[in-house]
Amino acid sequence: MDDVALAARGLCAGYGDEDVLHDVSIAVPRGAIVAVIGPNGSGKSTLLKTIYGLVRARRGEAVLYDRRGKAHDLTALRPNQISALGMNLVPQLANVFPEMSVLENLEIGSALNKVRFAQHLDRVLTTFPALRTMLRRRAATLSGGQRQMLGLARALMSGPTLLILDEPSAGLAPAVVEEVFAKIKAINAEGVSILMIEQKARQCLAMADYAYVLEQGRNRLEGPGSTLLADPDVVRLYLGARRTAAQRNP
Amino acid sequence: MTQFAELVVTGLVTGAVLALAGVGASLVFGIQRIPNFAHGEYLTFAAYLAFLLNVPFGQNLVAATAGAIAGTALLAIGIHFVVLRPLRGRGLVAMSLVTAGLALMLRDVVFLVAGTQVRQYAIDQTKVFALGFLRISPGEAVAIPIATVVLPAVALLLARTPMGKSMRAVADNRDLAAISGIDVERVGVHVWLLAGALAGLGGVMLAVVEGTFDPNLGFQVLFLIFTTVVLGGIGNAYGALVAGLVLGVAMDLATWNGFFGGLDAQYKPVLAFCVLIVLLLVRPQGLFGRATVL
Amino acid sequence: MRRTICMCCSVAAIIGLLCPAFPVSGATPVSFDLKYGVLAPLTGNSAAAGQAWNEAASVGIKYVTATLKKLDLPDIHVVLADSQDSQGNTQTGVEAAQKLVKIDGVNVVIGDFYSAVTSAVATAVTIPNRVLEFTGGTSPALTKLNTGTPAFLWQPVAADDVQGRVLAKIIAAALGPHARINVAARNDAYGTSLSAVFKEAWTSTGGTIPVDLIYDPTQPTLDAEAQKLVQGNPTGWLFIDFCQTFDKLAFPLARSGKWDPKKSFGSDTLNDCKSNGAQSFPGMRATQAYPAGGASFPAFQALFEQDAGQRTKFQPFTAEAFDSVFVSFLAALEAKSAEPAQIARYVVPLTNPPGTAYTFQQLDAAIKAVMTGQKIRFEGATGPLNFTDSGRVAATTYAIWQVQPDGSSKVIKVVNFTP
Repeated sequence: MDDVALAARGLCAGYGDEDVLHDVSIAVPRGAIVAVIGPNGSGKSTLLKTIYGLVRARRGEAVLYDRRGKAHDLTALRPNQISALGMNLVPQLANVFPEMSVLENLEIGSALNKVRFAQHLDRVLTTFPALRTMLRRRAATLSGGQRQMLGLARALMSGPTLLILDEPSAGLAPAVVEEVFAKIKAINAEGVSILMIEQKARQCLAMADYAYVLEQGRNRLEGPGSTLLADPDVVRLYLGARRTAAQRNP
Repeated sequence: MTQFAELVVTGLVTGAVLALAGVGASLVFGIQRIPNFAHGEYLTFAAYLAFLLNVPFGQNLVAATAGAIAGTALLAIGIHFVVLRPLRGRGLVAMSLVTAGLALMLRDVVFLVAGTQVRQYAIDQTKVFALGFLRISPGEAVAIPIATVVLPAVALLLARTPMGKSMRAVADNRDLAAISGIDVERVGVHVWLLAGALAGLGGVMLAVVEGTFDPNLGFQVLFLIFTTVVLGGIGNAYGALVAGLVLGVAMDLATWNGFFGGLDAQYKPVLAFCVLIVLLLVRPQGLFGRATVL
Repeated sequence: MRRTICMCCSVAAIIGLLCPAFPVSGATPVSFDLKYGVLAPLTGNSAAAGQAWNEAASVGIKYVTATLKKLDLPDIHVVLADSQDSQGNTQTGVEAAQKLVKIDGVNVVIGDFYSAVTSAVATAVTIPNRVLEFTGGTSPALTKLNTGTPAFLWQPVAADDVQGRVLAKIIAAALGPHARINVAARNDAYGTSLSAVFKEAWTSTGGTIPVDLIYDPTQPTLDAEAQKLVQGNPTGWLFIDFCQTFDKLAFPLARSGKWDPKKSFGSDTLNDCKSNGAQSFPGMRATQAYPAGGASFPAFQALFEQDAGQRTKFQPFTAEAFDSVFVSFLAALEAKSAEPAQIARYVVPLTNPPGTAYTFQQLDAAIKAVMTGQKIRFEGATGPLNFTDSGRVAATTYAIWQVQPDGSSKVIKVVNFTP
């Protein structure tokens, strides 16, 4: 059995009276990339927010296992306490501090801890060299792609062992998407477990060690990324039919 | 020419009071998401607390001001824990009504305890300090040095200190700040402390500059404070600092004889109202705010 | 024999018929319940004056009650039903007056001395409910609110249309009739009407007013107004305001270095600011209807200080409240009723000749005289009063007050004025 870093079991959560998640369970093995895909409105974003305490879980649990195997019940913690355990989240939309400079974004990323800041700054700027020239710029002036990089960089400044990413490629040009996914793989290669949800399911499955398919707030399918990618039902239902070479060149 | 210079001075002094109160209100709105209609009453409370220490208890004005600052900070924290935090999350309209009700209550408590008659501090208000060709009142003589020290200090606090950066981060993106490991609750408490202290200082300054004051002191400048906050960009603390000074100077300069005889002094608030209306129509994000919705 | 008996019977019958015309003391008992209410600013800027007004009325009512007891007239009840706080503003004043009239059922209201409050109260409460009101307010418009004779609103103090002309006379005497006087008045009924009367009186005798300013005393600062008031090269100034709010204007005036209190005059509300808890400016003069013109004034002051002096500082103008108590009581006695409309019919004859003059010190004798049907004349502590049918007094004496170097104020001169 893989050493599990994060596990969610039987999560039920929602906004207001209606539940969005119904009894959802996922697990992230240590050092793996785990993807969650599914149609719009399937509750993927809500799942991440519930794990991170931004949405209250009505039932179920989310547990983080640290290196020593100690279990931490995430549903009882506030977001800043969760981050102190070595997790971090890059939200889909509001993933930077727009009024603050790039450098200040990175400072906040390390929770204003000077030691941590010094520890991680160089490595983060090596992973995202473009940011080096933009340190004094206000984050709101960055382009979409640059902002995404900053969002990731901010999260890395806390030195996390598990990163949760909410649609990291949303709204980005294809070339930039490639770049983002490459960075994610590089981060994972350094030992950071990744849990990501994505619309670009095909590319996401291609790099995922394991994947879950959610539909209408429930677990639908799961399996290694490559297996799901090869499954014709999955391809038909969730990846959009890929046109055959003959269809592409009539 | 003398009149122009003197109007700039009085304008800067009023502006400093607005800036101090405006920064606090702006931070509170940005971080607690509460439009604090009771902010004016914090100034009134501070003025009366300082009066209590200065006149019946015979402390000098500096000590009285220190007491007022501490007392108002405590008041702000107290209200946060007892009233506002338990009622949190009810939405903008409900919270506005809560703070408006709080304002009425605070003002009436002051009326009941202190009475409606005007009060003065134990300083000679007829004294004049000559600064070159300028004649400065005791209120201005006190307010100018304080403003020149405190306002930049507040700006520095926001820009350089961890507390200031946390506040700006929470105001900018509350969820992300929490994810980044910032204790948002604690920052919220710090904001009330800071807003209360600044309002405390501003309240005493305002009372000294006015010469005599009654329980309507803070209420009279409440909408000016809100104009300052809107002018500087809601949630933008630096913006409020600058906007307060700009508004203060603009109101006083409008009465200058050089502007076609000058605006009648009783219409200064009308000018501020017009500024607010035009601003909301043309550029609601204020001079320095970003053009996004809350 | 039969003729003697008939004559005796006739005489007896005649005597029997005539007997009721010569009542023994107490044969036709006068009985009524006279209820007073006091309305004054007991809190707020004019609290000192308001409290003194209340005490003066209260002292008067206690004196009447004591005298009635001494004369053993248990069927006549005189009582102060309640004292209500107008806070010096019209809305509160009207509500307070409603309480006095509707709930306490008072026959006479002693107060207010704010003209604005009195105007609202008379219009909304006392005149419609046909209750008597004795006001200390000085606006000439007040008695015009009376809808007919007899009046229900009585003004025992000379009105401002007189005061404005007195001010013009006094300032002309001090600074010359062609002096340049800057005028500053608060923006309420009292300030605007008095300044208008003064302006007319002053300019008609050749004087000029370079700056004529109406200002809002509730504004945060009055620095800009003060700057205006030292322009135009004035010889002197006239201020129409209350002490506490006047300070807000006086401070920046003093700081300008161009203002001289010794050349400044104030209206009746600025006569003694130190006693009212505000700052006074040595040299400044003010005028006030002279309330100490009656022979019994010293006795009134002594009575006040004895009964109320520890609590409240004595203020001379409160003699108006004191007098109002006695006027309405004696008029009620004449009318043999506490019904306000009845009382009102006797106010004018009571305060004018003919008749033997009585002051409050001879109240017992005055009561006896009234009860034996004699025509009496009441003279107040303020002076002969001489009420007219309109509700105004005919007598006018003014005092000039001046602030001494130590900040206290005293009367330096008394002038008689014939309108």
